[in-house]
Formats: sequence, structure tokens, C-alpha cells
Amino acid sequence: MINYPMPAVVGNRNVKRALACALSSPDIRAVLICGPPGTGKTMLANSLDNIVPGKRTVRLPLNADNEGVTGGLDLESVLRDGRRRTFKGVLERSDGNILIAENMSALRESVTNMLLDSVHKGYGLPEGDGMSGPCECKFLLIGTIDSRECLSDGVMDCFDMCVFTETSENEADRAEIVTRHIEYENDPEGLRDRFSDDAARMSETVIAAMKRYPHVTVSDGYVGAISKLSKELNVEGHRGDISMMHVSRALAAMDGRDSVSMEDLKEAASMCLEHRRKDVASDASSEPERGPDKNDSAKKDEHGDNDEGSEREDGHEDVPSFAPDSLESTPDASNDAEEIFVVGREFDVIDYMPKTREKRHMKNSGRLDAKISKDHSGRTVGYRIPSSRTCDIALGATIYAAAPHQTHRDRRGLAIAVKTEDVREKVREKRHGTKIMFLVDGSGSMGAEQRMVAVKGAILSLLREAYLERNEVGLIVFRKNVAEAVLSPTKSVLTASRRLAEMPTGGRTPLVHGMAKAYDMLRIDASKGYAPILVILTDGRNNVKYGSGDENFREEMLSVASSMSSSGIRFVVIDTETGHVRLGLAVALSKALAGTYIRLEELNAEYLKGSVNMIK
Amino acid sequence: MRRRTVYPFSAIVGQERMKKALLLNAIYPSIGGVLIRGEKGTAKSTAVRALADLLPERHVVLGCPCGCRWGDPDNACADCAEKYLKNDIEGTFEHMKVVELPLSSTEDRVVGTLDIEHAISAGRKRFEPGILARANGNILYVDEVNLLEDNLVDLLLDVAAMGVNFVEREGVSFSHPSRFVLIGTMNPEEGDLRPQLLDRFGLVVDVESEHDEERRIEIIKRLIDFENDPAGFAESYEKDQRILSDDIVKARSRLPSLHPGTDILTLAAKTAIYLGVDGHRSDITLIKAALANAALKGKNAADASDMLEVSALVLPHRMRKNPFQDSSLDSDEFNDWMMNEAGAL
Repeated sequence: MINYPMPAVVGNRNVKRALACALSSPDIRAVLICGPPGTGKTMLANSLDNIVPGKRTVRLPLNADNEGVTGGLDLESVLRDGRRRTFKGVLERSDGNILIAENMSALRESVTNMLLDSVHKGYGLPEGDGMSGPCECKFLLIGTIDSRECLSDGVMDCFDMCVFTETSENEADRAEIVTRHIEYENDPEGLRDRFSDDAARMSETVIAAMKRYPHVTVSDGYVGAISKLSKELNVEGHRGDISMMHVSRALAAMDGRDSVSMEDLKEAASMCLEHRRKDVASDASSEPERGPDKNDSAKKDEHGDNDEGSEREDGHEDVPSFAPDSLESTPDASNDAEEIFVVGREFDVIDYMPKTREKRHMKNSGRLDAKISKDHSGRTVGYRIPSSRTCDIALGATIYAAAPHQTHRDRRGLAIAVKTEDVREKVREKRHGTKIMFLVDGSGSMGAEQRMVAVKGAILSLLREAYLERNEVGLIVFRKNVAEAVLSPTKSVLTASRRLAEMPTGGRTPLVHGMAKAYDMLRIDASKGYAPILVILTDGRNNVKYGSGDENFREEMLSVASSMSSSGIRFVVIDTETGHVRLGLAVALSKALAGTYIRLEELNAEYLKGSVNMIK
Repeated sequence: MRRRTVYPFSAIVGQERMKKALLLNAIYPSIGGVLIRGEKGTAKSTAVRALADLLPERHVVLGCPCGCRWGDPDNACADCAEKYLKNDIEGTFEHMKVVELPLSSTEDRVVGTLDIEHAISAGRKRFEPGILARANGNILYVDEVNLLEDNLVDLLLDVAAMGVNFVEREGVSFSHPSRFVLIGTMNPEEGDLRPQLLDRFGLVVDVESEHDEERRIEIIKRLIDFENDPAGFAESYEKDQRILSDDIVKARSRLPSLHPGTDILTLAAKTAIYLGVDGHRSDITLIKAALANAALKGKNAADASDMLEVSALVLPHRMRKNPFQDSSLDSDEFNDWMMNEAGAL
């Protein structure tokens, strides 16, 4: 197969430079290419093939099992003469070459771990017992990931560099991209030949840089500057510093210099440190777990989105400020008329979701948690010796387990005789989206000053976020004397947004009814350990009695809330109360639930960005 | 066994956009497939299955389970590559097929795996090809694609990116070409599609049930006729079918001589920038679909009118930031804009 030549790639200069740089230094082990779909990630990764003559690309497919990665028992050899030999896995075959792992976020965790383990150690350990020792595998890892997906901080830190592909906004460039794409499809040799001179020049540059690299030095002053810079950028650990050294030296080598310059350092910093930065904004704001997504903002800048100032103003517009609600007024009781408010403006939502495990990097917080499945569904992630009778047999693994014993078994004419002790069963893993239930106050008071318009806009923004992350969303509205599930959990946001538009407002405020209903709908998921999320949009007011006890409305709400707090549901309370005089009921509610508390206006990423900038 | 008679493509009443989308892909497979969205009973599956009858022949390696293209050793599967070296290889012609990927498929069946039977009986490792092998050079059809399990979606995307299926499992290491036209159908009420997969579909059509009374009656009549006598019904459309498949063959042979001019390349770029789409797939698909459209019409070059005709199939699902709206780009406003831009070139 003829690969698309790297010099024929239009634009994406920084990615090409980073890749050439990685080829120039044996110390650079892993590069991550991140970008929106259709921006050439695959093409760029594949174009590395044979730039350094003899250095080929090896692919790690998503379907690879553990033995496929590390190598394992060679079936044919063990059956032929009873000798245990190993076959080469992807890691060993990539020794001295370039290993391409696309769509890193979809790789199985065990494979990701083996990969990252060996990329820095330089050797891999074959799977299974009785295998020979570690295999030599020094390779350059090129990972790709869609910019909407996420990797954990630990995985991100293993990449020396992280570079971003971009959509070109230039007409002539875009037209050229299409022309070359079609040319490549119809006549790959033709395109290769057309760019053969450029490709040869590129190879020369890289080879010269490889030779020069060992002699390139970094002055002591610059070494100090590197660690200072990492500190300033809030980079954790020392890997970033080390990557910076290697990359800046490689950059100097590519330019034909023997010492690293300030320019090299700056360029290296954007490639090596950006993806390792801790959320700066979250440290500046008072609530650390709700920092705005810095990658989101970075992406925005990348697309050259309009000036921030006007956007921030828009953000305020979404959440108009209301006149303070006086304590005495009881609009709920008087306002029985129903009204349907339009859906307010949408906005980018901050990363508001409570975390389950480690902090995730990039846009998503809780996308598709993986769980070991017990019901024979989900994808196979491995095999094990079954503890009892099983009907979910891993045939391949069973045969491999039986193979070494064949020399002393009666095979009855077959190549392999399988005994009960050989049987292996599959270990399956199921990924599932998180269930997110929105519990919304639909009482009359929400109609005041168009508050419902803003709330609907907020919900729609939250729904959009949830949709992108493949979560299931549901909607419960409480008003008059009941709580009604307007929408059962669904992945169809289209349906959700329609229901939302039709949602009426009016009547009293049965908050506890709503909480009980939501609990009922989420408790099965909660008991399975799926950690569903309940997002309550309320001002904390409750004026319909749920139980028969003699507590007042507030006490009943808080006691129900604290009894739910350890149910395994994650709670988010979004306070819709506005104005200068606040009752703070929602704060009390979120405390009782041990949940996350956010004010409605803070939900807007632009607003938060604005306030963080003000703190600075 | 005789193949069951399928409802003829040319007997489908209405649904012109869906038919157009399918035909464009039959002419220019690298457009990247079609996603057909619509409620139940809108002839989605019927149309996809009916397309099989119209598909042209391919020149393939005789007996290759991976459907390797004849005379292309650079892109052949491991087995064929060996045969090419030994010069022990023959070609044959085969009709393009519609290969279905059932929702209940396992990873092993999709990707292919160790041939267990062969391992037990002969003690040798051999690759057992999966659905992705059979789909090579053909149409891969996923009904209710929005309900496909996430890990299968990931596998599909992984293979679609390269057009090659690399297999590293159960001790088998094998690779074979897997270029297919992905056709999916879905009912949007049952859930959304992951954005990554959506972006992979070249074209998207939304189908609705027919509103015109007379046409509805016609649909029922034809359906009853077909059920009573499938063979006879198919026969009565044989002439129409032949004309249509001739058109496809002619368009396919015309296609290589069509080159996109600077005018439509610029228009495609302007359009993508105007709509703010991510990535470059929309430009590429817009041009390819326009070329196929021109070829189908027997024209010698694609122009702005071709692009306008296909834009509603290419663009709506790629627009940034509105996963909610019923993917309607305001067609009047957009048409005006595009005609205006085309005039300005």
C-alpha cells in the first residue's frame, strides 16, 4: 500500500514539524495527534512510513487482544513437537519502527497500559505463563484521538508531545486538499512521484538531524528556564521537563544548530507542556472541581472564534438578573395559571459533572464507564479459568491452554484433545453511558420574570453536553401536587428537546415529590454501581407536603435529602434563585445531599471564564 | 438455492432523495455511504436491499474470501499476496453484494478470528474471515445502526479509516483490504448516532412517509401485487431495472474522465467555511457527490447546479453545534447564497 506522502499534506505545519522532530531523536518515544474528524490524523500518522529508510509503520488495531500485543504461545509449534515457542506480537514487530495506535480512547485499558509501559521501558513482557523473557521493543508511538474524546491524565503524561490538527479556513488550501485527496485515491503512485523530491529533502533533513542530535546541548540557564516554565504552567511531574529537553534539542538539530535557542524552547513548550497542564482556572476559582474546560477554550481559540468580550456579554444575557423575591410573597399559591415558555439561548456548559474516579483529561468527565459484565454481553477483554460450569467459552484460549499437553494425550484422530481443565471462559466488559436525570422546578414561581426561559436554555445546553458524551438523559418536572417524568431516560436528545419546549409551568412546588420520583427511577442504576447523576434545578423552595410527619416543608426536604445522600447517586444542585436577597435554600439542599452546588448563571462557561479573568 | 426475489428498486414510489443518494454511491463508492433516517415503514430497508440488483460487477480474485480486487497486489490480503508471488492466481467477475452486519454480531464475527475447526482438526493456524472481509468491495449494511454497540462502532471506524482490516487476535496476525460502502438505516426516535460515526457517512437522507393520497394508494397496490406474485411483479419492472443499471454502468465509466474544476472546488471550500463545518470531509464529499451526479446525468463536467443538488445530502449532518435541530439547513436561504456565490465565480 502506498501511503500519502507527508509533504503533500496541506497545512498542519506544527504537526508535521513535531513528527519530523520525533523521528530525529531516539529519546522521543510518544507523540499524540489530536483533532476533529477529517483533519488528517490518520493520514499524517501513516505518512511517517519510510521517511527514515527502513523505519516502517506498524499498526495496533483496536481488535488486538493481549497476546496480539505482547506475543504469546505459538500454537503450531507446540502441536508439532511439543515445544513452547512464542509468536511475535505487535510490540516486538514494532522494534526499531513506528507503532501507530489510532483512536486511543477506544483501546482496552489493559492494552493501553501494556503499550505505555513498554514505550518508556523499551521492552515488553509476553503474555501467559512459561513464556520466554522480555522482548526488545524500542519504538516510536504515534497515538491519535478525536478532540471530542478524552484520556486520563496519566496516559496523557506518557506522551512526550501532543499536537493538534486543524481545519483549514483558507479557500485555496481547502480546494487543494480535495484535489490531492482525489488524486491520491485514483493514482497513489502519481502523487508519490509528484512529491518525491520534497519527500527526499525531508528524509535528508531528518537523517541529518538524527546525526546531529547527540551533539546538541542545552545551556544550564535554559535547563533552569525549563523547570521554571513547567512550574509556572502548573505542569505536574518531571516528564514534561524531560520531554522539553529532548524536543528542543531535536528542534535545534533539525535547524542544523548545536545548541538550543530560546525559540526552540518556546516551540517545544507548546508541544510538550500544553497537554500536561493542570486546570489553571480551577485553581483560581473558589470551587476547584468546577473549573471551565481549558481545552474547550483552547479549541475555541484554534478555530479563531470571534472576540471573547462580546461572547461574555451574551453569557450574561442568557441569565437575566431578576428582582429579589420578597420573603412574604407566595406567588406559587396564587399563580395556578399554566404557561409555556420558550426555550432560552443555549451556551457552552462548564464541566459540572461530579467525578467518579480519577480526574479525566479533556472535554469529558464521565463518558462511558467500563464495568466487568456478568451476563455474557459486552466485548471480550480477556479470559480466565472458570470458577464453575460456564457456557461462555473462550474457544481460542481453550485451545491454547490445551496445546502444550497434546504430546501425552489421546487425540482420537484430531490435532487437539481438549479436557475440562483446559476450558477458559471469556471475561467481558461492558461500557455504558451515565444516566443523567434532570429534575426541574415547573412551579408558578419559575414563570416570574421569564425565569423559565433561562432555565430551559440551561437544560438544553446541559442536554447537548450529555448527548455528545453518549449519556442517557431523562427529565422530571415537579409542579402543582405531583412530579411527572416528562421524559424517561433516552439517548434521543431530539425527543428530549421537543418535550422541553412543550413543558408547561404553573402551580405549587412539590420538590420532595420530585426527589422521590427521581430516586425511584435512578436507584436500580445506583445499586449496580453505575453512579447515575441527578441534576436538580431549583431555588430550594418546597411547599407541598410529601409524607404525613409533622416536620415543616423545609425540614421534610432536608431529611429526605440526607437520607438519599449515600444512595450511590451523584447529585448536582443548580440554584435558580436570583436577586440580592437570597434564602439559600438550595445551598442547604445540596449540603444535605452531599452534592455539588452551582448557581444557574455560573453554569455558562463564558460567564465563568469571565469571572476567572477578573480574579486574575 | 434460488435467490429470493427482492422488490425492484425502480418500483419504489417516491423517496427520490433516498434513491438518488443510493445511486450516487453505486456510481462512486468512495463517497462514503449513506445514512437513511426515518420512521418505520418508509421503504428504507427495501431500498437498500433493492439496490443489490442494480450493482455492477467487480473483477476479483477467484476464491478469495476477502474479495480482493484483481490485479492489485499492493492492496491484497496476505493470502492473495502470497499467491501473486507464486503466480498461482486467477480472476473472476462477481456482482457487488449487500453484506448485512446484524446488531447481535460479536467482535469475532465482525473482525474475523482463528479458525477453530481447522485448529482442532489440523493443528494449524488459519484466519477465519469475518463480516469486514466479506464487505470488502461491497456494501456493508447496518439496519438500526444507532443501536449498534459502541465497541462494534469503534471497530468499524478503525477499519474505515484505513480501508484495511488488521487482525491481531487469538494468535492470528492477518490483514486484508476492507473498503466498503457503509449504508445505515435508523429511526431517530430510538436514539442518536455517535458523532464520529455520523461523520463517516458520506451522505445523509431523512425520509418521511408519503403524504400524497394517490401515491399512498399506489404504494399499497404495488406492495400487494408484489406479495401475491413476486416473480411476475419483478418481471414487469425488468425493463426499468435494465435502463437504470445501464445508467449506472455508463455513469461509472464516465466518472474517471470528470475532473473537478477550480470553480466548484472553490465553491465547495466557500460552502464549508460559510457553514463552519469541522474537518475536510464535507468538501471532499461535496465534490465527489457532484461528480457522480454529473456522471449520472451524462454531463461532461460537474457544475454548481450539481453541487446544489447534492448539498442537502452532504451538508446537514456536518454542521457544527446543532445536534438538536431537525438537521434542516434553511434550504431557501442556503440555495440563494450558493447560487449567488456560484454566479460570482
